[in-house]
Amino acid sequence: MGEKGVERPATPYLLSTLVMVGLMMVIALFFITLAAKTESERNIIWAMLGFAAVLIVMMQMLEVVKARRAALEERKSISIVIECQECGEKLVRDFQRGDYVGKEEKCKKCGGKAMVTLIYSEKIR
Amino acid sequence: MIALMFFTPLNERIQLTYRMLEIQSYLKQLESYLTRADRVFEEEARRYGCSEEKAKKALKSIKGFFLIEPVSMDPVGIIKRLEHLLKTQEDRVDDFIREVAVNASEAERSNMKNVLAANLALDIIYRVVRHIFLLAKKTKNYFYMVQLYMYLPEIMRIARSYFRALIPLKEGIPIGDSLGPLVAFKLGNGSKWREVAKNVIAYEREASGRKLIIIKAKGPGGEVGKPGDAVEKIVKEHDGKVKMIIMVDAAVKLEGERTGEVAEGIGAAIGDPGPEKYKIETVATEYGIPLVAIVVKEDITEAITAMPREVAEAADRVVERILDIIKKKTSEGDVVIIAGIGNTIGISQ
Ligand SMILES: [Zn+2]
Repeated sequence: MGEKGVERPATPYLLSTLVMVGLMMVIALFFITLAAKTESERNIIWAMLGFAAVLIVMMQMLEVVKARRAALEERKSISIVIECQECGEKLVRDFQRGDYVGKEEKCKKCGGKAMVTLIYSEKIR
Repeated sequence: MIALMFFTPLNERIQLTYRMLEIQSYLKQLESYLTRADRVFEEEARRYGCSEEKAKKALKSIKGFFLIEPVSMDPVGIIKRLEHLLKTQEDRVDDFIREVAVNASEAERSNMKNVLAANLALDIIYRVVRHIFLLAKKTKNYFYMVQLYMYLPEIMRIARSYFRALIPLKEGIPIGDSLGPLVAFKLGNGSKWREVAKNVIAYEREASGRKLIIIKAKGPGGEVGKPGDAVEKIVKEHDGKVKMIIMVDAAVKLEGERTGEVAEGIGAAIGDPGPEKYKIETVATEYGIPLVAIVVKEDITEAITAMPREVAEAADRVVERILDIIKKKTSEGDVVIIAGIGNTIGISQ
């Protein structure tokens, strides 16, 4: 997973999990009938089996959730830097459509001529 | 039963089915990228005064647009021929955008053109993947499928980059590839500028006694312009008396390299299909002008989506480096051309 930019599709994972769990159940059942002699032994094996199955399903679910989250794109924020040419005030705010580097703005502090000098994106953590 | 699964062709068939399912879900993903890309284009067209129906029809008509590369068996004049074809293609796309985005300004039309380009890229990726997938299914050929499966992560990465480029391109946010123009802006902003070639401007300023001519595409619309024409023209204007040509561009990094790393080299740093690079190399050779290349490393996603902070900050370092090179390798009174190569989206002059 971790590889950025690559989403693994969710469905085959779920499918493979189900198939594997099913297969394990069948094999386990086979051994149970062979090995377990008493009722309590049988119960312990069943409990272990159930626990393992739940664990595997949960892990896979987690994987799927992670993949979904990655698919929703890491959120990025676009910021712009406005610099005043008169008083040197630097201001960072969110990008709005219509902004561009070199666009003239009014300085919030002194009312003088300010300009957008940089636009960049950052990941939101 | 287990032996049966592992040692007979059954194993292969099970694998095939399983991988097919996986590829199918990738394909679904590609399709949804494309659908959403179409919607972005249509919404933009509507915004600029086109009816929804007309936008849909127009988009459908331009899907699958192609360019046939010039014959290379007889390479004489191939660059001229390629340039002609590229120009024809550009005119065709310009006409198309003008038809669809009736009320858009010049800059907005350029941005629309970029959105269309990303859309068409997604379209061709989807078509090719679907083609191989269906072929593998039809012929039940394990090896088609394996090949596709092996390349899919990389294909998906590229497709996803184009998908994520849509929003920055439509809103006019600088992308990673805009580094060259950003450096040019930082160097030249405030000085006099003029348009030297189609969609290319040139600033003129002094720095420690040298005359700097800084070129970049004309912004803030998403243009790359024709820097080759500009460099050629400026060199000829000075009768070849140019001491150095410095080109700044974004370059694809190798995995493991840091984004925003600055590297210096020799040659024409430009990733166009050929003609612009050819013109610059030719004129530099003709007059014996050294070509210095400065690149900033970034990956393909960063290059076509909103400019990452590391790249934006690298611009300052590049400016310093350029001034340093000029100071060390040229003398007072020399003329130096600095070309900021790349898409100037979101960066004016
Ligand atoms: Zn101020």
